[in-house]
Amino acid sequence: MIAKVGFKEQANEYILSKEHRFFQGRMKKGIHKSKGGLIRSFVLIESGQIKEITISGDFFLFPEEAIFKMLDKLKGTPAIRDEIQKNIEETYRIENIQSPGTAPSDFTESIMKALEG
Amino acid sequence: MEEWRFIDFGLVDIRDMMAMDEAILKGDEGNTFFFWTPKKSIILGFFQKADVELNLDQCKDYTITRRISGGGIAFSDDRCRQINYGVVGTIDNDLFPLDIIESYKQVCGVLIDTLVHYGLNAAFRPINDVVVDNKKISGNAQTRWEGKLLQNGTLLLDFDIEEMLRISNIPKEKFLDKKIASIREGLTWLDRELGEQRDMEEVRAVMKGKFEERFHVRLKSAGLSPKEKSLTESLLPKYYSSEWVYR
Repeated sequence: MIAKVGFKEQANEYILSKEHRFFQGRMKKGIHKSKGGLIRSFVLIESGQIKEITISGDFFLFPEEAIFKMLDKLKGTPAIRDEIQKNIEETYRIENIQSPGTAPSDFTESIMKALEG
Repeated sequence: MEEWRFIDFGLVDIRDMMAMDEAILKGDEGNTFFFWTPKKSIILGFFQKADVELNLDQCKDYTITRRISGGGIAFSDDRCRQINYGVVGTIDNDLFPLDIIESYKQVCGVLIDTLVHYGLNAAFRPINDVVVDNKKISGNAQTRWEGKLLQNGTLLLDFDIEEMLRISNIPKEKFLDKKIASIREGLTWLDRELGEQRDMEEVRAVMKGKFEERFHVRLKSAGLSPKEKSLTESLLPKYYSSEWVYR
């Protein structure tokens, strides 16, 4: 139906090397279930601040790309509940985020579980 | 009576389908209802990481891609007994409500009406599920773009739970608050509920009729427009790329 030329298909080698890179880090993992879905956080802390953070989950959030802004903004944030919550709420406000069944506090909770784990 | 476009894509590669899905949302051909049948595949939700959600060693013979909407994995086994649908609609407060959960409820109503037609006790379970006797029979995912919504979903006619568990890393937290002892008790499918296999074409025809009734429209068969085909071509590299799928 659709011609497919000029680009490469995904390669398993890439998947595995990326997977290994991901888990080789010292990222802590937290899982929290909101009404809207599961939020898995992977957080790396250095000098009391969030150095790296990634999130995986089956929640809904509009607009979807705002998640990257949320994560970027969290980098450098002190690893303290109030600071994290304030930061996420600010991204919600600026980006006009809607996330049915999931509140900013649910993301905070998932991240805190990673920090406390 | 108003006419909306209807497309049946048949058996498709999900990477092609996700490109066409996005092209329909971002094209300007008006409200559209479409069916597709995925080959053996896994579609990740927008926020899911493949290496977190999947046991990738067990997924080597699956085609994997990602969609532009959130939600969980859409898993299709090689039984190919799932009805997958898509709806693109202009958001208003009547047919496609602005409120996200209300709009899920409206579109999921087509599935509920279909299941009720077969005598089943179907209901909407917010945010995005359709259940029969509180067992999930349909998962749905929605995204929005410039005043339009795209909702995709699946109606299970048959389902290989063992295979889904083999390929995925589902944590126990997922099911705790639903008070479900196990994943097996939380899912169901049409063949199981009816105690017999129904012809997929027949179920699709019922669903199409229920869509027309619910939205008070007549569905007219058509294909993608030249603009949508061109948009699809430009989107295909994304859906085939490791950067998109395994990011």
